[in-house]
Amino acid sequence: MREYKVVVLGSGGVGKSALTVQFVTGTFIEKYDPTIEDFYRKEIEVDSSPSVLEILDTAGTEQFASMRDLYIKNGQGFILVYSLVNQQSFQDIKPMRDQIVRVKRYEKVPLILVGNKVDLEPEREVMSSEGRALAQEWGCPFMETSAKSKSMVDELFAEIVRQMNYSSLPEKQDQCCTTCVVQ
Amino acid sequence: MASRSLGGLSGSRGGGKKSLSARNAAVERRNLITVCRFSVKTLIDRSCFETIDDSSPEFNNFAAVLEQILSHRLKGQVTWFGYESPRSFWDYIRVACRKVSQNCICSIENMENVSSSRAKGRAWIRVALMEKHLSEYISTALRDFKTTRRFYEEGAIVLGEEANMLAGMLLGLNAIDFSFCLKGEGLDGTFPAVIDYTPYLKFEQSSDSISSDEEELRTFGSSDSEGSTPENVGPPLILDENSWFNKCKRVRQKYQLTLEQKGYLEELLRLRENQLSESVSQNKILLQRIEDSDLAHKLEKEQLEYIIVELQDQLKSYQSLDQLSAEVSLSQASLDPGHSQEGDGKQDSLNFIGEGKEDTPSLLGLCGSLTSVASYKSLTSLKSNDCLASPTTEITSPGLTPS
Repeated sequence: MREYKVVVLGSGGVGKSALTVQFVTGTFIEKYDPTIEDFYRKEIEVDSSPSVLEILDTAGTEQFASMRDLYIKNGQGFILVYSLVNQQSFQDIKPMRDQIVRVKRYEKVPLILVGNKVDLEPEREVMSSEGRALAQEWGCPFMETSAKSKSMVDELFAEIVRQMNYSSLPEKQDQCCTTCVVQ
Repeated sequence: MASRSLGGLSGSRGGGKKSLSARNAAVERRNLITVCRFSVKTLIDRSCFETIDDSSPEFNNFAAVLEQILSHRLKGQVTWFGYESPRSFWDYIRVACRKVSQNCICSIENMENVSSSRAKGRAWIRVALMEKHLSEYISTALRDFKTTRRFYEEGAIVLGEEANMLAGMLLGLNAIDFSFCLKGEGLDGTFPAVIDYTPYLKFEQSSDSISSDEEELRTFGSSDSEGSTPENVGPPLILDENSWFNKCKRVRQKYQLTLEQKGYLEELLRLRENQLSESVSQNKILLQRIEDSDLAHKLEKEQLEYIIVELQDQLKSYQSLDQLSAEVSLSQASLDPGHSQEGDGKQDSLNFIGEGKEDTPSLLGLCGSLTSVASYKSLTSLKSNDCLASPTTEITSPGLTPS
């Protein structure tokens, strides 16, 4: 089985751990407990092909920012999470992508932009069009998820596996990135 | 020690059930991996606020955990006589990590103050951490499957699926600046690596770290989702628990959350009570100020009224002075008949002198009572009358009479 190293990034409190734990164990974490780092491993079948995901759930708070370069260097695919109910978390996500490109020295790193907490629609601060526009600018898929109602969580991790598969074929990757924007 | 005691138990059983032995081995592996994860997290958390050196209990615990993992089910070396002598994990590391670029294997091997194989292994752990390459060493060693299988027995942690997570777990340590002294006696290989499990029975962020997180969340305004039913989901490696234990755990968590909320509300109540008592005292102070101000106002009013009365008295005194001036002019008019009597003759002049003596005491009294200039003038006129009594004045007085 192929192994994929996925790193989940985003500012504090957007729901990185909730998304990861929802995917790995199928349960939702209500209580907020800031993550230092957590490491998960789960088998997944994507397009009839079994794979193993090693998911690194990172610290969103700034005091552990020095470790972000380490995670980025070690990771293969990246899930960038912001919260739909927090405009600042959407602003914070842009420099993280710049950091990934700088560390990897590669523009077309496997990447998915995720707007979490879609179940809190009445409190929405970031429009879908904003997220979609940023994803198009980056040439990566865009999803809006809810760790609470388990909306699009499995699809998210399946998609990052596909992205990492495509990145191993540079020629095919160019075509795929321009066309497979998920809405 | 946990791993050794478990090994001893399985050894003493001899022909025990394989299922029980397998379960013991699985529990042992999961325990070591979980404690390794916790010790790494504790180190990362601590390193944000302190320098990590030989005196750090968190580091010593991590080193013991790593040593236990790398020594788990390590094969002994078979000699010519078929006797199996114990080995150290350093014998495995120095072979498996030869290919790591810019490795410190030769340096460790040539250290003079470190003699035993175990001590060299401990020195290597410290140097690898200071080099920020421990994760790379471990992942390189584990990828060398042939060497790993040659050095470890079946069921070892490094041969199992858990080993795949080990390198990822250790990656975060590359962000920490360690500071170790390799020339002291701390690297003696005689004492065993003892893991202190007590800090990890429950992981808690240090209070500094928690407050730092909270401040940052307030600053960035990140929203957090909290509900009335908290659930702490453990890592995938967590042991299976029966439903009753899970229910009890959930109830305990609810109780703990409620207790925290109660503590918060009590603290809020205490704060409000303090604010209320402070407001009451301030209110009293302000009322006192009002009373003092009112009293001062009354005193000032009385003083002003007294001044007004005094001024009125002075005004009346001035009016009576005017009347006295009028009296003075009347007295002057009374002096004129005296002059007319002087023209009659000597007898008349004698009578005039006698009349003058009678008038003097009253005039002097008037002068004494009054302090005005008008009374002074009348005194002067009186003196001129006294001069008229002389013989020469008799000659002068007839001259004045015709005029």
